[in-house]
Amino acid sequence: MELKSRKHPNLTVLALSGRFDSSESARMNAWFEEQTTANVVINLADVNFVDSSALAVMVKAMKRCRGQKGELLLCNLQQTVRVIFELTRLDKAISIYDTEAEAIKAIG
Amino acid sequence: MIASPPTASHPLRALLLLRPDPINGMAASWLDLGALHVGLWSGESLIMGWPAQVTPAGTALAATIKVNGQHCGELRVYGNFPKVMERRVKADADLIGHLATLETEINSMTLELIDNQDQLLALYDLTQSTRSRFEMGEVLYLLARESARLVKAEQAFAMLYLQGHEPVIAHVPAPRFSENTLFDYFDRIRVTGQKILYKSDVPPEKSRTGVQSLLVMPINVRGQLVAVLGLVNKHGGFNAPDSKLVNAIADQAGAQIETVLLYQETLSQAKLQTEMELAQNVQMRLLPREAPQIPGLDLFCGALPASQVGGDFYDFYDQPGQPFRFAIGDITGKGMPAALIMAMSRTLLRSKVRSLQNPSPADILGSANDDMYEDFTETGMFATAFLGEYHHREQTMYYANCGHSPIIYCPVGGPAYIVDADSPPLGVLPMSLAENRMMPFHPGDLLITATDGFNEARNAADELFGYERLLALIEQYAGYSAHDLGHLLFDAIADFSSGHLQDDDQTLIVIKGV
Repeated sequence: MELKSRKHPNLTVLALSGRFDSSESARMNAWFEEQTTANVVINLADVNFVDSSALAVMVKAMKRCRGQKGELLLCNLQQTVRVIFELTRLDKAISIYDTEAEAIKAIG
Repeated sequence: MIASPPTASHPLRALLLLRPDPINGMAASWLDLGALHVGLWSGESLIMGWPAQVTPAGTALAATIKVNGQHCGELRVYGNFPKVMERRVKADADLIGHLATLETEINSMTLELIDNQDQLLALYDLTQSTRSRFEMGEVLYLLARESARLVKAEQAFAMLYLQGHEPVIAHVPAPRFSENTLFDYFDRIRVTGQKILYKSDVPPEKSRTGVQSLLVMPINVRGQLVAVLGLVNKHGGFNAPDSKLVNAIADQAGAQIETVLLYQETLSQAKLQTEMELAQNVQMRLLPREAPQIPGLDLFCGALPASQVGGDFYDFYDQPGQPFRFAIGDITGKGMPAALIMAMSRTLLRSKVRSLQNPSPADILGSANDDMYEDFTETGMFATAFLGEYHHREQTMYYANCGHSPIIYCPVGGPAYIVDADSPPLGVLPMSLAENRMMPFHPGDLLITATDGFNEARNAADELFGYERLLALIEQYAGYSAHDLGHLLFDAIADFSSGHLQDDDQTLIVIKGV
């Protein structure tokens, strides 16, 4: 999985691509540990697969952001990935936006 | 051991002993020419004379015999010979000297060969004695002991030191140095990359430490210094051949130590594997092996654990005066952490069912979420869970679903569909959003609760089994008993994924109204 990040004044956008599975957990957890902004937007446009470990990483990151009075948002989910968020009802815990611009705007 | 060849201290005696023929021939030729006596002399003592019993007298022609460029004796020929024959005596003396020189060279080469052979044998012995040992202390002890014997040192020691581990030390015959001293040697070698070779000029009786000579050699494994081999006190000190031999021993020891380290690694992996299997065993015992007999229901349950322990669980709660309840869940991740949280979740749900007053499914899951939220947050995990409650008289199933799938409902006549969750999994939000839902449950209606090991099973082409296939199968075989349908589903997944490692637990409850 590829990982590209871009810093905005009060948030970081993380663009991922490829498979997001258990083999990426450690690297992703470490990435979130290093973040200095409380707000993170994950752009999943190029992610074609997530497993439960990936969901756990995102839930952990969401809790971390909220712990810092920030928010974790997702955007550009492919249909297969969106289905997983809907089935697990994680879409009720983590806000999902259609576009990156909408997600950034939501943080304000 | 190869026996030493017969040697005589004087090179001419040695030559006569080993190669008498050319010298005998030479003497016979002189006697034919009219010589009275032919002799090889060392100073004024005769080494050998021809004819043997004659004591020479009169005048003689004599020539010096040199062996390895050193004066070694004389060839004397007695008889009445003209002066010119001196040249032939000289030529013969040179020839004898040359033969004797060759002989000494062969002799010393043979000795060197034997020496090398001895060292090879010694190394072979060392390898043989350590190869079957897999305890590091024992290997180091044998190494020190054999090295001391081969080099003829009074004492020896070996210390293995791996970063982050206690050092392993062996002394032969008794410790002379403290651990600190050994560490000093180790550090010095690490810095210089060189052996330590030391010889004291202080006589033994005046020496404070009693160390007259010392040789400490590095032992490397894959280019890294891991141990030192030290030899203490040898008469006359340690010379270059000793260093060479100990160096060869250290090389050999490095290979042996690597083998032992690999063995230990394999052993601890095997131990871990055994513990994991035990954990899996314990975990399987936490799951009910058989479904209970419940009026109005036909039940089947089964679980097929993946190669490593996972976090699937299911449970039945059949208490007098209470509706029949059941739960299925899946902890994120695999391995020991998931197994531990699974055991905790199972126990907590059990106690919630028992202790809460007439709880609804959403009450039970909500209360479990309250209790476990912190632990889940701490461990970075969460658990999907579905809890159902069957009311026989009403022919109704009440349920709450915290992010669990697949839950499939197939009323009589179909179609089968996925039962959605209301709430994210347990441990995601501080407050559960689970709501109580209900579905009619008449005879022939089916509820299949499974874990994602079913829909996420993959075939050799890496395709997912998926929900569509699962729904289609259930519709097609809805007429089967719970038991038969359960087995059919397990078989279908096994067929589909043959040739692909089962990387997730497969857990299933089939409930059919009767």
